[in-house]
Amino acid sequence: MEFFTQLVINGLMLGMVYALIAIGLSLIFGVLEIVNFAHGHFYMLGATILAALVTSAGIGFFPGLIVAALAVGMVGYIVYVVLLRHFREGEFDRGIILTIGIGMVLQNGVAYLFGSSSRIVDTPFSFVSWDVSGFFVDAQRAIAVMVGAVAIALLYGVLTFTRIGKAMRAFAQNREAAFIVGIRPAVIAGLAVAIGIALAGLAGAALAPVFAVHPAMGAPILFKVFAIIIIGGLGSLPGALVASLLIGVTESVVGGYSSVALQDAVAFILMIVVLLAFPAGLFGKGIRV
Amino acid sequence: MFRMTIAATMMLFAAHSAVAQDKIVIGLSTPLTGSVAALGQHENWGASLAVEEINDAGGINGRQLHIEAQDNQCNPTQGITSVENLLQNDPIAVMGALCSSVTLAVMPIMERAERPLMVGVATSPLITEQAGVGGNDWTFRINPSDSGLAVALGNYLTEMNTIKTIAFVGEDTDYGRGGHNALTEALKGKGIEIVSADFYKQGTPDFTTVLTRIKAAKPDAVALYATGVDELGFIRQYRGMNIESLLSGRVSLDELLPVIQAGALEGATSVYPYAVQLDTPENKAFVESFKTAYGELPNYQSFQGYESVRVLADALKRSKELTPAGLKQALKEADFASVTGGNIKFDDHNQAHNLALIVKVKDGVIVIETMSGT
Repeated sequence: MEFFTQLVINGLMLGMVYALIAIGLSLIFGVLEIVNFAHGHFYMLGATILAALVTSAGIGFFPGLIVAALAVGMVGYIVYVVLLRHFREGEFDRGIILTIGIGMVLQNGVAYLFGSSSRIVDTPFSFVSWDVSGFFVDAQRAIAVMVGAVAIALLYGVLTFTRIGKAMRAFAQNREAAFIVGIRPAVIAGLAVAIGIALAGLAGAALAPVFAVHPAMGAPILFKVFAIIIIGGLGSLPGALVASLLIGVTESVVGGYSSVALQDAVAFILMIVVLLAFPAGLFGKGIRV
Repeated sequence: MFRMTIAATMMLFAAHSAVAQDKIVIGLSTPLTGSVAALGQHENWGASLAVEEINDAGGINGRQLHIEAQDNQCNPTQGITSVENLLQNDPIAVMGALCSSVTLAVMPIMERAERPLMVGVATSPLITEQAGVGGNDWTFRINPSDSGLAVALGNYLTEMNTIKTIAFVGEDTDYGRGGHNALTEALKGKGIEIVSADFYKQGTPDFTTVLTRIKAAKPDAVALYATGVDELGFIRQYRGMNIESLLSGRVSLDELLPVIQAGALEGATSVYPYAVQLDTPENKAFVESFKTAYGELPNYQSFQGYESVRVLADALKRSKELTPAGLKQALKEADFASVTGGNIKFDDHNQAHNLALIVKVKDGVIVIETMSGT
């Protein structure tokens, strides 16, 4: 039982990390109806920027987190203005090709600028762990989880209580109606993309001291996060959060009692099962296609 | 104007083919992007350094060597494409492919193209089984295979007398799975039991689950067969979780210097074909020129890239004719003094038997415990 509880704790912590990436991806899909295949590479960009700030520029971990998230969000906004803005409705396939291309440019651009060797980020919390009533909690990971929780709470606040957040939700619900009541699509969509991508950057930065930082680190996490937003229902933010925690815990428990090889398959098996039972995902709002 | 353009183009073309004819091209298929890109980069650096030294010393009977590198992403499909691209440039031989799975995939292609494949890094025993009298006469390997390394490691762990149970963790490739089979075989009848085996997908960032299981099971040692960033990630998390089991296996300690200097891997042992610390004049000279050229210490991959080119150059100098077939014959007769102090001589499976090192972390530095034949 103790072993099981430890696995669940590990799984919840892993799930929060997935959530931070998945929510950004889901937000962009909700507003723009583009599946951002470059999302994992923005996560990598955030980690790379943090690594450079902390190891080369000597900036502290927490200021570095904020700078990295802002910088990645800015890159995201530029990508929106230059490329994504020109999409019309129904150009779903072009969006896929374009964002895959953006991802390749990011990955190889970082490899060109920083080299493909992996970097280690050490902070005062590295290799510190807490014993919480007999259970093992890694400090650096716990900080990433807290950063994720704060960011998600902030996003919830913005979407629920501010005019701009309400405009984003209105835009996601019905584009034409939002347009008619005077919501400017370019501003709203641009902001949503910037926020979504900044969240990916923040996730990367928060996890840089936990995982090894290298240009290819975005790809494996991207596919898992895709499975998560499909399970949660495309475009649904609560769905992305619930599905992330679900996948995190399931992976951890399955891996703990059987083998690690099965662990990776779990997300996708779960995706198939959920799609069979709920074709629009757990929190999906009807079929879009 | 039109004629002049054509004439200029023809001249350029003629000049280009003249250069191509003068140089002897050696292909290199290695990962230059992806999770083990840093290792591929090192292999390329080592090979380039050897080529530079050989060319400065007059080349191969007056002709210059040239390395042509192609990215294989440590992926068998991409590996085949990379070798097919390399073959367009008429290489006398191809080196590679760093990863065992890729090497096994490109072996038949090199056999069909009738050009030697020089394996220097990949350690899967399957490569030896299939080479030479095993069927593929064009594949040569200068580094010890995992069977050779596992025997050396098994003997050492047995002599330690404190290890009774081992948890195996390896990547889910021919390297990890081959390493598991080789170690199981080597430990038979030695009183050491492999109590669990986990194979993870390459590029996995998170090892919490398997580490939680190991922490609960408390084996005497963990045998790790991982590469590149996966290995670094595993060891960081292993240290973070305060696991007491001894770390062993095929750990590339030379990739982990910052972690070692921090005192994190005290007592960890590993079997490895190369260590920067090797005390031979040839190795000291190699480490020095590598550091000057690239600003980093060489590792196993750069050493093998360096040695592969030197073995090829030695054979090319002895070869009666500068053709792939002539080179193959010369390789079979090779008797080359390795930088390690060992000897490169190919057996009937075209496998050379260089030394294996048992390295250990003692007081924050890597020391060579013993060296043995493979």
